[in-house]
Amino acid sequence: MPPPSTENPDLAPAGDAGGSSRDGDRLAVQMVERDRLRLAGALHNSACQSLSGLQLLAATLLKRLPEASGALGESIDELATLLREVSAELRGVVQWLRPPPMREDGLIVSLIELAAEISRAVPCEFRCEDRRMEVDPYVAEQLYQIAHASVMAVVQRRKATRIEIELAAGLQNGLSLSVRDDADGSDGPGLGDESGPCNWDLLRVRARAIGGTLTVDALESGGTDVICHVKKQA
Amino acid sequence: MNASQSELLPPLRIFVVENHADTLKYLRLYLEQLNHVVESARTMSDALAVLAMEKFDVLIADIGLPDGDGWELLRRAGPSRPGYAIAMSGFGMNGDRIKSLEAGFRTHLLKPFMPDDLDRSLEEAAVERTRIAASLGSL
Repeated sequence: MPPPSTENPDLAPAGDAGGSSRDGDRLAVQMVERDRLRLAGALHNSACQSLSGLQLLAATLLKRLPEASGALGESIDELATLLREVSAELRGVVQWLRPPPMREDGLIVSLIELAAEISRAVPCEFRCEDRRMEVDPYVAEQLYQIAHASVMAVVQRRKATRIEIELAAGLQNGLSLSVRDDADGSDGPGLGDESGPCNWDLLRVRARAIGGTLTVDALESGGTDVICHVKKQA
Repeated sequence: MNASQSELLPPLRIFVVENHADTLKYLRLYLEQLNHVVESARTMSDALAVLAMEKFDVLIADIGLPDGDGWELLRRAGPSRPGYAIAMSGFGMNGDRIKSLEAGFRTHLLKPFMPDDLDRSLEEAAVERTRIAASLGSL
């Protein structure tokens, strides 16, 4: 039996889902984005710069050392390896804090490009029957951020061999975005728990800010389906 | 590319534009260890002044500069821009990379970057310089 959907009831939309509630959610998204951008900038100006310098220094020392430098050479080599690993981790953190904005070409092109980029790590397909559908720019940006965060979470946390991103039009100008992976469940709980780097609460607020809902469903097969339904575009 | 291969590259004239003191210091040290000739600036306006007077094979520019950005630097450098330009930034995935490529940078290194990635770009720059010199010589 798969675990239940991980939608957090505390963060469910208010009963009337009125405009003021949506404005509040938009403001919350804006504040969080601003704060994350500030943190990413601070990390860039401190740790990223220092690590760049340290990596270059370690590489310089390695080049200067004669080949038979014994334990000293091995230690510097080990230092260089550690710096490389820390650098890769830090780059990942900065990318979580400052995800790329959607391309100016629109949501469809951005999702095609996202699928292509993710395919370098895990085969990723984008499906959309109506590629000419028009999406409100704010709705599009939030959907893109939800898709981006979801696929990044899959790539980092799941042993998936395939990811599908699907955008579908619904009734009355509604939309549905789905990010599905085919993990077999052997890599532990699905995506929706709060232990990974993905801020699911923020994604739910993003969904609410466009008048939608977000659920993270564990599939029978072990995979996960992240679904954002927007009843009617804002 | 391993250390011995990168050291076999012909020396390049490299102009580094970077406002962070430590990154600039160690980047210079690394490039000079590889026998390249390195000059540097820490702001866009200083960089433009140097580029107007001297020729370089390679420009390595940080995207975030105190008085502008690397994209603007390359655009304003116009015909005095070096033949091969490398962008560096602490941000971004494809969006920033595409912006760098559109601005005329040949590659975009994400800080903290691996020295091997820089080596690969410099090797490409050296090959291109050799090819251009050969084609000019055959005219």
